[in-house]
Amino acid sequence: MWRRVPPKCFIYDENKQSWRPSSAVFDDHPDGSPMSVVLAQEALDAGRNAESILRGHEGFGLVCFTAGLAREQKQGIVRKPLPEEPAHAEVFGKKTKGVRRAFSKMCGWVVPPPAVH
Amino acid sequence: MMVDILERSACREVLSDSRWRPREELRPIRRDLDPFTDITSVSRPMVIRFGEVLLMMSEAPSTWFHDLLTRISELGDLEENWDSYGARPVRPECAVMAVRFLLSYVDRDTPAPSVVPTNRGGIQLEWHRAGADLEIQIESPGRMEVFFEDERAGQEEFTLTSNLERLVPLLKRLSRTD
Repeated sequence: MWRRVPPKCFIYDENKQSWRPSSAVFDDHPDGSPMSVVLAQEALDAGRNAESILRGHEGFGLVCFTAGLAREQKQGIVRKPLPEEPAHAEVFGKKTKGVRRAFSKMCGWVVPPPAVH
Repeated sequence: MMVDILERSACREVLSDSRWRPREELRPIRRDLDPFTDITSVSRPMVIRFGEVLLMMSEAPSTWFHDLLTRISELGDLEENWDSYGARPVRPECAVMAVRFLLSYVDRDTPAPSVVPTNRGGIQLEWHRAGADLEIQIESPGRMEVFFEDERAGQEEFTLTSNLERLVPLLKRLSRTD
């Protein structure tokens, strides 16, 4: 699964000597709806690439994490296609601090943000 | 030091004290001050722009603090949906609390935190160094959610609403170089 990381939300982790998203990136929507992601394989099967997910979002990066990681964190995944994003899905479940930190530490960059290339 | 939301303004500068009080109203410089203190701004209030409001500090902090203030100020420019997932703009009240906390508990020897906006309109201050992680989430004035993890001592998670002294040893831990 892919999730966009906005500018000002990636931090340098001196313990890991690398840039990664802040745990703040992996929260549910402020209105309570679950965290949005793009199903990577579905997007790729439709002939899209990772860069297309960042179109119109200057300065953003893109990270990926597996469904297995989500399940380990007691999260569920449900497809929820949108007109503007047919590969849209939601990751539901309580987003405790521990859950958010796990996503932030275990995800990987698909497209690193320009500022940390 | 007092920090408050002053007024709505179209001020475009991030840091400014010249608009608040003219130089001729400076009080005499104290000779016992740390030589690295910005003596040109001693005892003068300072304002920083946060979006369309100004945050007023009763006293200008030392110049080494200005980079942190700039980073907080920049969060005020984030508009609705800044994260592309419906995030809310950062609330000035959370910026005031972040500034007050940093002024009270961070000095030039404390490692500077990362300053990150949250999608609910808050601010997260975080440190990841010296084998430890400290994340302080400010989502409303008067309330901080704290997470601390030390490779050796384990992790703790708690909420602070008034007395922040519990953070002092955690900040000291982050300053260690062993």
